Amino acid sequence: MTRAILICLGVLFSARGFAAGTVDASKYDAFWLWSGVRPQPVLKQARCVYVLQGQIEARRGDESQVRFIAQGVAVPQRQPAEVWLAYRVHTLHWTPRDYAILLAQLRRWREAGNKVVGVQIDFDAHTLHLQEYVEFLAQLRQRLPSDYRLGITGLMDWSSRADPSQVNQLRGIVDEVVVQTYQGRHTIENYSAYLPRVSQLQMPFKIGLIQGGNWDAPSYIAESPWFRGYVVFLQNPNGEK
Amino acid sequence: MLLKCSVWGFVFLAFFSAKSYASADFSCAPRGTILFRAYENCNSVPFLSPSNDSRLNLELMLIDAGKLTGTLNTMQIQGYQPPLDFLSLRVPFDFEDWQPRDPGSSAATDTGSTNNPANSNDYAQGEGSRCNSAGNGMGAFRDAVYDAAGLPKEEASTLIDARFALKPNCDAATHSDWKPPQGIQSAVGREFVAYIAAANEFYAGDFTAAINDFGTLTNSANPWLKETSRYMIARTLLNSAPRAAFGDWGALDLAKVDKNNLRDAEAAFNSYLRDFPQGAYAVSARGLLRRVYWLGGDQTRLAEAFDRALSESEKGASNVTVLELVQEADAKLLDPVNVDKIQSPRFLAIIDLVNMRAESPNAIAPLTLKNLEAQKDRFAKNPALYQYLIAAFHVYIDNKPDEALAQLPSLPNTSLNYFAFSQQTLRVLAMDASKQFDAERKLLLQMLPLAKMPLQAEQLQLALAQLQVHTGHVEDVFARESPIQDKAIRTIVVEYSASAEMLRQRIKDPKENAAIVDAALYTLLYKELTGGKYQAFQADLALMPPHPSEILAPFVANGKGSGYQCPSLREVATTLQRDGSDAQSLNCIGELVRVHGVNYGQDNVPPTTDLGGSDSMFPAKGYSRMDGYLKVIASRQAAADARAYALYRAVNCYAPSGYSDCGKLEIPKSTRKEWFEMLHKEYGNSIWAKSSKYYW
Repeated sequence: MTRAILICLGVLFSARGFAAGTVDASKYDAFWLWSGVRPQPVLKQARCVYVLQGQIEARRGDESQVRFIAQGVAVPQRQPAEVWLAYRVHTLHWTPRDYAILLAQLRRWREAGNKVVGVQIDFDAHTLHLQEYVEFLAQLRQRLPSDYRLGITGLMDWSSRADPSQVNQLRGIVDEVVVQTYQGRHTIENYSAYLPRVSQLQMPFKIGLIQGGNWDAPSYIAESPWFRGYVVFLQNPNGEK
Repeated sequence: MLLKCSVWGFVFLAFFSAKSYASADFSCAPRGTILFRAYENCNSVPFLSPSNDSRLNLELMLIDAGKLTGTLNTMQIQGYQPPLDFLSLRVPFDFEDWQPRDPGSSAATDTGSTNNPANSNDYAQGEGSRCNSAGNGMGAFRDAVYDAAGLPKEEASTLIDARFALKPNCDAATHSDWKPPQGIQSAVGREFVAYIAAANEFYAGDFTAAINDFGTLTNSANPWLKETSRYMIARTLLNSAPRAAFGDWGALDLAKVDKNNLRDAEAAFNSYLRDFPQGAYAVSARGLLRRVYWLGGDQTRLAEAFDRALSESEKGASNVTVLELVQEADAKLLDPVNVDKIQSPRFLAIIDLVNMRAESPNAIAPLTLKNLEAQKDRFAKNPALYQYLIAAFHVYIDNKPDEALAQLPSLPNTSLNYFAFSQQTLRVLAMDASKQFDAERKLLLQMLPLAKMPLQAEQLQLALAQLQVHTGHVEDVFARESPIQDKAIRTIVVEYSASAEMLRQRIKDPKENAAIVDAALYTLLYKELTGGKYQAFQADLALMPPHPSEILAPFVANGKGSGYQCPSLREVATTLQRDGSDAQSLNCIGELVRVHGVNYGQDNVPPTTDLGGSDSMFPAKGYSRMDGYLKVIASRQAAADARAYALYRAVNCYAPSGYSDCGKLEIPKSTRKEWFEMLHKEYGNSIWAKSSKYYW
């Protein structure tokens, strides 16, 4: 956990002084590089890049059809930024080979001279999968060599009214949560209404912004001892893909 | 194409009562309609729709072509029974539950499946690494060495060891030195050494050397070396082509692909295929030609190659399954695609449908009718598909239903494949848009006996139920001969649309399904009690069965023994009928909701476009606990215990998150503070004040 606090500390400090308004990627230094998004010059200044590398999906209840589909860019060589490999996860019923592919991808990225620091799971959580998800993350944590961190994404949920302090059960399993303030390509309209709850998270969290979207940082976010900075989801200019 | 759809809710939700399914903002929220204008992988429909994932539309076409079958996987998570309403609808459905299969190959031979032992390497499906053949290449090499005429036995084992030592990582920044094996004397043995050297160069990325070394083997007397080196030269050229095209962060810039390499690779694959039409690598070579077209940005030939691969998908003709081809086409052809280059009617249609999505981040350019009409010639082999797209444009984009209807055929008298079903579905949508409700109803009823493919009947039942509710024929949904038998659809109509009298009929109908009877009785009693219909509530309690289900039991339970004291709800209703402001009774209705939760979506009305979202004959009152507490707090005549309890509960509505759990009404924090102080000042000796330590 100490390591997680240190990571991207620069992001935290450099992001604190930001003014409101449109998310200008050039003012940040941590990014998501998703599939179909062309790398942009801002990546040169990146300290941290979350790179989509695959999707694990299955037909629900039919484990014979788990597929680990490659996504995102090819393995680059010797990138200076810290790298998290991100995975879209649609099934939690991973086979041994799925874990093997994930670990092999991490290894291949490192062998290409990149500073791979962790794995980020982007799970399409159905409410019915909740307990399963926590168990899955614990399981993945166990299989992951100890020099990789484990992170997850999360969407601000405006309809639930539960207590964010209860997130605690994830501490010790995941090293960070990146809470997304957008859906699709746009910032969630009244995102600020949900920030008080986000700020009550008692585990390392980052705020996910979308390039060109809105962000007006309330002071209490940066005051949270758990806040670890921002990650900007890059998108192609002019909505092209 | 998928859209990013990720989720945070679990951490908050994990601590919710099991009844709060309705809060589905962070997850798939199934809806009771079949018309979606934006991308909706959570609400897929079994017809060619802009809202479907592009893979689903392609799969529906391939089912019609006999290449796939498809069903919905309804297997449920162990120990979880989804509530019998929107979450139990089969149409629309979550794309994740859609289960297409290659009829020729059982799941066990699906090469895309990651737990198939045949997939021995640790590369993901579609992961573009030339190293992914290093494992299989070992086996082929060993067999070739054993078969090689004139190769001494001890040399064979030396060669196999040497090849085995080759465990390349093509992505590695540095490659370990490889040393040729010693002691190989025979001519054929030395050729095999040259082959391993070339393979090592290939995997290490020294393509020029690899081409040279493979080149020395193309006239080998050994047939395996002769054929394999030809194929490997083509592969080496293909791998060489995009070398300079990978920028920082591994992004591929097609403009930087070496066109000469690519042209040479294409020629080499074609000449290999000409010389070895049944060769060991013929299937692979044909597949790699798709990569040539992809890297060359030749989307015209790429689409044709996909069409060809899909039509030749029979065993042996392809080393990928139809489902893998669907996946590959989605990634390599559609993302991004220049529609002007596509000649294949099938792929044109898939792309046009994507471009008809409202607010589509995947749309290359918004589709205009002119764009679409300019494609007409390219649909010469499938004019019906062209007309379908024109009609879809009129339904989804420019809202000209009459023009849509003019493009579409009348109902055939044979069972409907997915395309015919799509045509008729567009007619249904167009009739609905132009308010030709009688024609729409007639068409839906005529379609039903022809709807034999999976999910078609479910879609028709939903569309018919929507129409019946919207046109004021709710009673027809429940008529004896009604084709609407889907339990989820009937439950939704019961929950949101049916009148009190219709609910009583459901309860009394001995032929009605027990779950729907329960839903009807719950709905009736809940809406009456929370809607102030106390007399009707008391009368309708008589409909309660002798052994009520768990959700119904609270309505007839005797007074509660612990905590806040409440008499039975019958007594509560009797009191309220006499005095609508009776504080204890108002609190006790709150207790029903607080302790037992709200079943079904009573207080969460669906969007107006959806089944249950409008035209209710018995609308819910939108009950909130806070309303009740406010009445009691405002009432100075309220009994001390009741008022103290209302203050205590109202304050606790905000515990511990600071967000109200008792309805949408927002109460300022200052008011909550006043309540807290009032509770302690005026009712300091009450157990409610004593158990109230904070406000939120």
